[in-house]
Amino acid sequence: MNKISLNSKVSLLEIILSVIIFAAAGIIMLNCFGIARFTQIRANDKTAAGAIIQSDFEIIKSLKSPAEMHEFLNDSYDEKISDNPIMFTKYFDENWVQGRGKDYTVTVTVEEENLNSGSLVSINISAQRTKPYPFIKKGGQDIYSVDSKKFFPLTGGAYE
Amino acid sequence: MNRRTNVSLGMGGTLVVTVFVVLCLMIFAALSFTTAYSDLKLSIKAQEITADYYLIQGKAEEKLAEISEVLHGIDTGGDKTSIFRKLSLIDGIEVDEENSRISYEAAGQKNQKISVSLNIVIEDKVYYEIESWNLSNIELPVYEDQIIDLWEGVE
Repeated sequence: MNKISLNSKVSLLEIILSVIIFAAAGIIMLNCFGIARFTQIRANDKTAAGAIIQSDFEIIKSLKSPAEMHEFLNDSYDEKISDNPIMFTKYFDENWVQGRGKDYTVTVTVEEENLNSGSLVSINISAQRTKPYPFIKKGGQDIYSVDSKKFFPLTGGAYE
Repeated sequence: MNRRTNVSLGMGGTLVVTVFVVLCLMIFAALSFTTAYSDLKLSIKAQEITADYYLIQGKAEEKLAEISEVLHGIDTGGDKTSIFRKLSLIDGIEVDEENSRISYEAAGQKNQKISVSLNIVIEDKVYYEIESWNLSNIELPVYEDQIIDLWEGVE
């Protein structure tokens, strides 16, 4: 009958050294995996926030008057947080589903300038994360921010 | 008959295995970080281009408001030449009086511009109609011609 015996001539010093190396490398690796995970989440957040912000901008661009814009903002945003300047916000959960959580916020700021021939509206739409990203110090909680303007004429302005 | 086989890791064997495992995990960690960072760079690039697009869109709308204000203040009793002379005073506007058309551009920093062309309608009041509102590149890439000799089927 064959017998295999594992004759491990491992010194205590070697075991201690291995454990120290593994522990030191483990700390670095866990950090690296953590940074990688939340960097990926941040990249995904930018994409999701970009889609939501662009969609809102395109809707506002297609509207005909400031009244229609206010109606749209009242209907599609969760709450009005300020009157001067006009600010609306809507909340999203971690999967970017509106109204299920407050992990992310999308805020629109509208400043209206009344001219003789119409209204020039300055619009800023930004997305933030309510809690900072763990492991990542750079970048803060701001995810996406876009500034633009829209002119609502009283007469003319239509495409031919 | 009993045969004993001795398998020994020997001195330093544990250390070698530990270092190998640590090295493998380090490579995985570095690769996952590199992938995530590449995705983030792509998202940032897309964000910059989008923000630039909406910024030039805003500039174009601002210029439109300026034109609209000028048109609003014009007396309809005036002749066409005086109307277009007033419009030509606006910075960055190209006037085509013959075709009753004005055009302007709003340029961004990410090689994109919006070219706007407006028809000026003079009736009981003077107003504009948007003829075109186009997004295009400021500079298009130049590709060098590469001539490849193809076999034409006849020697």
